[in-house]
Amino acid sequence: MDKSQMTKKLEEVISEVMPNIENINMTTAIVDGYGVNSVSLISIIVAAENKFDVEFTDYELALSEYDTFGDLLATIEEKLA
Amino acid sequence: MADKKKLPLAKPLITSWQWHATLFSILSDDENAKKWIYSNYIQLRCYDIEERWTGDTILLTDMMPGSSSLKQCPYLMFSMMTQAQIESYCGNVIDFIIKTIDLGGYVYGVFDEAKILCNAEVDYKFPHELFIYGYNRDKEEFYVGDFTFTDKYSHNTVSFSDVERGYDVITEQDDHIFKDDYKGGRGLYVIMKNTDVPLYDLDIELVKENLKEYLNSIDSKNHFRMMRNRFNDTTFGIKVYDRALAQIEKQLHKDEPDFDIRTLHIMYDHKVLMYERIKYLMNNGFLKYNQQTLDEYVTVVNNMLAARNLLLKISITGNIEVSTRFKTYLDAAKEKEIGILFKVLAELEEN
Repeated sequence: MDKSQMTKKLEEVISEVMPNIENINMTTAIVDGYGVNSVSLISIIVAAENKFDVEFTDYELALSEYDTFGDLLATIEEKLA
Repeated sequence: MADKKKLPLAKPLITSWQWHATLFSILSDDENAKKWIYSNYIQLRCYDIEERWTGDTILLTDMMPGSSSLKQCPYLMFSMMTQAQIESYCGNVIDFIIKTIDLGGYVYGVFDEAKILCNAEVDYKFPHELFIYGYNRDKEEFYVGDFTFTDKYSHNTVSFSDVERGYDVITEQDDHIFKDDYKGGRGLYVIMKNTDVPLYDLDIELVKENLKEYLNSIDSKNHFRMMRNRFNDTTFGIKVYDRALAQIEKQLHKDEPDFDIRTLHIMYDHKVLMYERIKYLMNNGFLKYNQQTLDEYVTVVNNMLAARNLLLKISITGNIEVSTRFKTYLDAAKEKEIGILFKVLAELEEN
């Protein structure tokens, strides 16, 4: 899977969990830009685990780990590498 | 009267319970108030209570001072206004809130948030504390802070009419804040910030006393018996880790698992605040600056956060088999915290 396919797949996950978000951008700050909080982030991660068949550690569930959805994508990429 | 007014608000360092979120929303950025905050909020306690709405037994965990912190903090002036006073002074609750905000007062009290959240009439109540810090007359809405509107504590807006409906239906029996104050009745509280003059120095003797009681799980409520003497099954200090772990096991293995994260969340907030306290004590000459100590305490914070987030994740996946990991995180946090805090206490005792 190349980067653009992964991005598209993650965008689908985000849209499923947070349908109110329009125009998902991988570089926008997720807290200030999209109102992501601890609960919504973990919901996105759980959905991403299923979609990408990866597993996050409990330490990787912390909101402070991710400034942008791009950071989340990078973590998924590392797990798939 | 202005058309719009918002009183100053800080990003609260901790939230956990509405009383903490309110106090820290008003005082988090204030250097004078930090001296009082860091002298307190050290001891942890927990006890079983019957939840008012569901009838379930829950473990109520909190830092001391708990809900009375708003009244006891020297940097807040906390006034009780009965329903009769509100009506007599202003005629109605909306004008009372607006006039109070115009005078620099935040408003805090119990409202039926079922009426606020639901457009349609509902046949149940959800009495909960609401923190009101501003208004907008053009839009006919108040600026409020609460846990009810999103998944976590947030600042939001509520219409004048919803606030009025939410206020009107609360009876004396529903108003648990007035009840907790042993006063009964119904009303609201006015909170004025009072931080211009230093009223309280960092009390290093109290910090040491609190740390000793926390580390040795000593019953701290004996200090407050003149005001409160309920609750005989309270667990204090480090032993809260064990009781919290037992509670998680119990709640997850019920016929209908209960994913209440509140105990883990307050424990996480306790660690966040303890980290900030240690840093403050180092930066102000009460402790030698030691980056290693701070770095090690971060692992305590991270383990508590991992435990809280694991429970959030289980609430989504329903996979309670992974609950064995709670013991790993809580044991790791407990062991590391005991080691660091005994060292901190020893250094404070030497000085």
